[in-house]
Amino acid sequence: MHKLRNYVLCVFISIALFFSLLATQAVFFVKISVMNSKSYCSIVEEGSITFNVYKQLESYYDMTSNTTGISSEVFMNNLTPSCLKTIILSCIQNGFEYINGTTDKLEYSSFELNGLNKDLEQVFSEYADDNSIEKDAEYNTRVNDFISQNEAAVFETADVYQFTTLDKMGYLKTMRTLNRYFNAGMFLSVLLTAVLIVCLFLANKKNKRNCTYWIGISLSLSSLICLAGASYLNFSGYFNRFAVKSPHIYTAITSILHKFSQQLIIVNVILLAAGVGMIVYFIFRGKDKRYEGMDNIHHHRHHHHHHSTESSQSQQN
Amino acid sequence: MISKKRTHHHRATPKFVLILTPVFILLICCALIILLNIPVYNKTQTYINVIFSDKLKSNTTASQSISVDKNIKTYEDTQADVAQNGEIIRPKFGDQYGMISCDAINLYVPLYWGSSDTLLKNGACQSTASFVLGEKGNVVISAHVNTFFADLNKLKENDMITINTSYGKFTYKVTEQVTFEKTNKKYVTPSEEDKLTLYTCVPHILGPSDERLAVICEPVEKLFSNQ
Repeated sequence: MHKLRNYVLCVFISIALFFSLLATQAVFFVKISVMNSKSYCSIVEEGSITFNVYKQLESYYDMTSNTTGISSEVFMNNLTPSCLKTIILSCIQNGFEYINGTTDKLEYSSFELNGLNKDLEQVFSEYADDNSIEKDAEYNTRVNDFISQNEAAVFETADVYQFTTLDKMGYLKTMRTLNRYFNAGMFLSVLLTAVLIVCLFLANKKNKRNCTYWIGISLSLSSLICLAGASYLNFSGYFNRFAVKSPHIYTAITSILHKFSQQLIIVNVILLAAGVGMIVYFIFRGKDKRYEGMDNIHHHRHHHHHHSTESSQSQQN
Repeated sequence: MISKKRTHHHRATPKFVLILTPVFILLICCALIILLNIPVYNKTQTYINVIFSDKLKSNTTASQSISVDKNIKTYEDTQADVAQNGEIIRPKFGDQYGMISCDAINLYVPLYWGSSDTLLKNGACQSTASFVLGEKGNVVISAHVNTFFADLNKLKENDMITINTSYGKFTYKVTEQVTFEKTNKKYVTPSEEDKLTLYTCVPHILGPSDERLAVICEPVEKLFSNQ
């Protein structure tokens, strides 16, 4: 009866430990990977996103040249892939600086566009000279407005992870608020996991090696659930169903989602192996050696006699 | 004297218990996960379905919704046997269903049903919200000012515009030229007044143009081909 009570208690603690390990893994994963700008920057370094942004801007300027009369070459000669890559990376850095609380406002530096802006001013100046347009205050205002609108168009395209859109919808502020509590969340989840492990040890104080079995169960099952989910998302092509088909945004979002799911798969394969290893260890080495002799004698005496002499055995031990 | 103490029998846990326990715990945990996630799933299902709604598994490049047939049809051979009344053949989006011509400004441009960046690169586009040629109502056609409608502002009153389609030939006469703000939909919305409206942007180098130029034409002749 006592053994049954102990078993049920361990089952409950193991279930609680399962959820605690899931929560710990989730919090650590979000803090270390999802809320880390390096994850996103590494995707940009691969090159395809920069290429897609370049093509997107090229077709945008091809289209607007019909109304503005400004050839797309004026823009694309300055917006080289290397310039665009710098702008894309700075958009990501600015976004995460805002989320992490380093800055209080989401704004972008137009330093990289100085060359383009100078060329545009030159184009307008030549047009004004050719058409005898007076370069008065209104002219200057319209030139500055055009340059500002153009900068906004470039940043909107380069902002492949849509920080500006998320900010307008209020999600970025929510992420900024939640980010403050992640460290506390990590501490609490680790603390809860430690408490539950201690509980398991207390419940199995007579045979501490049983703990490897129960901890192994929680660890292997929690990692199995994560592994199954991440594997399905990664290999079923679910992320390819992302509805936004603009190439630069589609590539950026699906690439980072694939990267996250692959990281989860790797981590959980390791955790699953560790959990299964603990269970296997218990099965083959889990019996406490102190009692091994008792079992053998008990078996021997039980085989030849129907009653054991436990007191003499306990005295011998 | 050996005291007879009761000691516990330390029997090994049966192997089937060791194997079934993880399965049992897994079932309980899966059931709990499903129960706890039902309200979350109900709240987020719509958003998730919208965000990941494209089940066509297209590749990472933006796919074009229409492909433009590069073989331009002039439709001039459909005018052999004509009548005042006839059947209108409604085009599909992206179809090049006519040719617009105007001798006054050397205009000879393919006409597409529907408007998109791709179609505007290839010719003049008719708004799908407007009436099809041959119907009684406002036919609205636009094109880029830097390309096909560059000389639209040179049209004068009484200049003739002809549109040949697969089912007939339609002739209009210019009545007026107007300029309006792009937010003013008065000239481009459907109306039962039988007319043709050709419009384009007023060019402005300093930024996108907010003004539009429209040429309003009244019908002169409608000839349907007998097919």
